[in-house]
Amino acid sequence: MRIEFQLWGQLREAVEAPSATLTLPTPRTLNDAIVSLAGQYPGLAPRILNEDKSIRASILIFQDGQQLGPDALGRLLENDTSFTLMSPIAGG
Amino acid sequence: MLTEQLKSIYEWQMWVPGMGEPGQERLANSTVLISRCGGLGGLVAYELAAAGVGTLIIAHAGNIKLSDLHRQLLMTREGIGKPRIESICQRLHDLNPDVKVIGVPENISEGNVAGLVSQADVIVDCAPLFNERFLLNRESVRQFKPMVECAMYELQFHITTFLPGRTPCLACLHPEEPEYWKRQFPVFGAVSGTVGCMGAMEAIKLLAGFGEPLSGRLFSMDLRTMQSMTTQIQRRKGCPVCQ
Repeated sequence: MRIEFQLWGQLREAVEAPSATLTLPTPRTLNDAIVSLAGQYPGLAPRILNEDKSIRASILIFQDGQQLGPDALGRLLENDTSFTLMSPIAGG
Repeated sequence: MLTEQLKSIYEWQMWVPGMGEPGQERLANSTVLISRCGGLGGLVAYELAAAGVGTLIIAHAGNIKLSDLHRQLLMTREGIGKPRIESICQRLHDLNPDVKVIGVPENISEGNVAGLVSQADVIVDCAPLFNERFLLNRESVRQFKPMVECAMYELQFHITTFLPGRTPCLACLHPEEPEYWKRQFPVFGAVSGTVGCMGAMEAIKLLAGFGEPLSGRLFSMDLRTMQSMTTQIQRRKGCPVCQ
């Protein structure tokens, strides 16, 4: 199963690219995929995961232009799905 | 009523469909609070002053540093070591002496936020620290004041407009302070300028009453690739600020 993540905010510098693609065995949930992503790119882990490996509430998750809430994390993924992850940013 | 001189100054923007003289009068009778007036807020303030917003309340503490100058276009090299708010007020007055500028030499805090928000019709959040942003968000929701939210990082930025009671608020988007965010970060002045001008346009649309603000939508752009996206954002169930 191929899952693509578009990355925004400080997440891009953690993977040194605007996106990352995972190949995962099925079935997997969105939560599984994000945890796997953090495992593949260690720089991402402190930005998107809490110490207990849960996903930080401040990370925005989008699919097809719609924000996904916490309920979506348990959803089983389909092959060739793309998500967007965005970390909080501010001004200055 | 606009004087003939004011009509001459603003005629190009009054030609914009939906604006006209009534829209200009609404701007002239409006007050905008800008939280921090650095790289981002400085451009918001400059564009709003140029457009003829009647009163700008600007909250910004500290003295001008060399590292401000690449993006904080209301600061000058001659002002190094002097209060930022003095330079901000002077530069805005030079641009448009008809605009009343209330300079507050403080950042948003628990002690001043309620009073400052109460004086404004629209708030523009440009602060670098999330504790200031969350305070402003809480108070804008409590007082039902629209808040334009501008943020940037590196060559990326995003912007949305929170309408209390109708859209998500900042605490819906980010219910906790990101502990890894730091006040100093990589960015170009052209990035803060881009999102600052967009933030000013959001405020103008809200005040003058035309166009479609980014209510319930988050516009994001990366100027490195010119990639952009507009996404729908949601209210968070049980948000302690807006529900």
